[in-house]
Amino acid sequence: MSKAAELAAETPDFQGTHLWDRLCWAKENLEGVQSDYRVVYEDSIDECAKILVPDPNWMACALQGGILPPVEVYWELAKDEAQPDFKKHTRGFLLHNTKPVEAMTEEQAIEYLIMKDCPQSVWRSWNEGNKPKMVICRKEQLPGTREWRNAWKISEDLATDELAA
Amino acid sequence: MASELRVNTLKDASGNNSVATSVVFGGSAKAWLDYNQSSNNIDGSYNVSSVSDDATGRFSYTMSNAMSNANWSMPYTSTAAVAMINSAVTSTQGKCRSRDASFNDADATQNCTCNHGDLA
Repeated sequence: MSKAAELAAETPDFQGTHLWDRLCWAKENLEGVQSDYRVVYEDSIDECAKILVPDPNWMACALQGGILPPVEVYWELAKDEAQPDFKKHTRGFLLHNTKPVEAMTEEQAIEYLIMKDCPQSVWRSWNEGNKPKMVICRKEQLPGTREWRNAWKISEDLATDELAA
Repeated sequence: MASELRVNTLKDASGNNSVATSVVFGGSAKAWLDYNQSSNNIDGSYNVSSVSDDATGRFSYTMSNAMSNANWSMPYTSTAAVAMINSAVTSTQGKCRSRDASFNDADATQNCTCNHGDLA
């Protein structure tokens, strides 16, 4: 049985419901899902690699379906916020009124999360340099201790023309 | 929702101490996070989609439901640190930094933060 199927509650029809209220429902009705996936990415050559950790409650929402808005909504809000005369969001309704996305697999959820929370400069051109700017891995593939954490970098041995390292 | 109360004002049993529900909601935390940077695990949260472990003692987190702009309040405490720096970066992202007694960046086993402000 999939992790999503183990989640018993049936999602109400949430289109038009404030996203924050949907998250309240999810918090009350869904068990958090700890993902073993981590996203290692570098958005500056002068800084160490960063590690993206999926939130368990968010992952539960993604696997459940019918709760989260399409990722494009976040891009639209980010565009608004990048405008020089931006004061406050006036298109927040996009979060609440856009039809929620269907249930995702854990792998699809990670892809969604990358496109939502990683800088676009990383994931849109992750394989255009001498080495990948981003790698999806399992938690146990990361160094076992945090010694030399500020020196962590993505290996230059990884190829950019392969989907799996 | 199974059931809901629709009221504008709450009062105590004697009819005093009224408070508008808009005040209650406006003053509620819109997100919270309990993050263990040493193990790199999220131990508890609400309205958070991910945490980014940026470096020793530094992390950022991103919300699911954006705030109305980047002017939101972000109290932050950390078990290992004696000095903490935090800032709202955008309407969806906040950054935290914890330091030890020598003022060096240091990982903490418990980083707790929450957001106050208006939602988008």
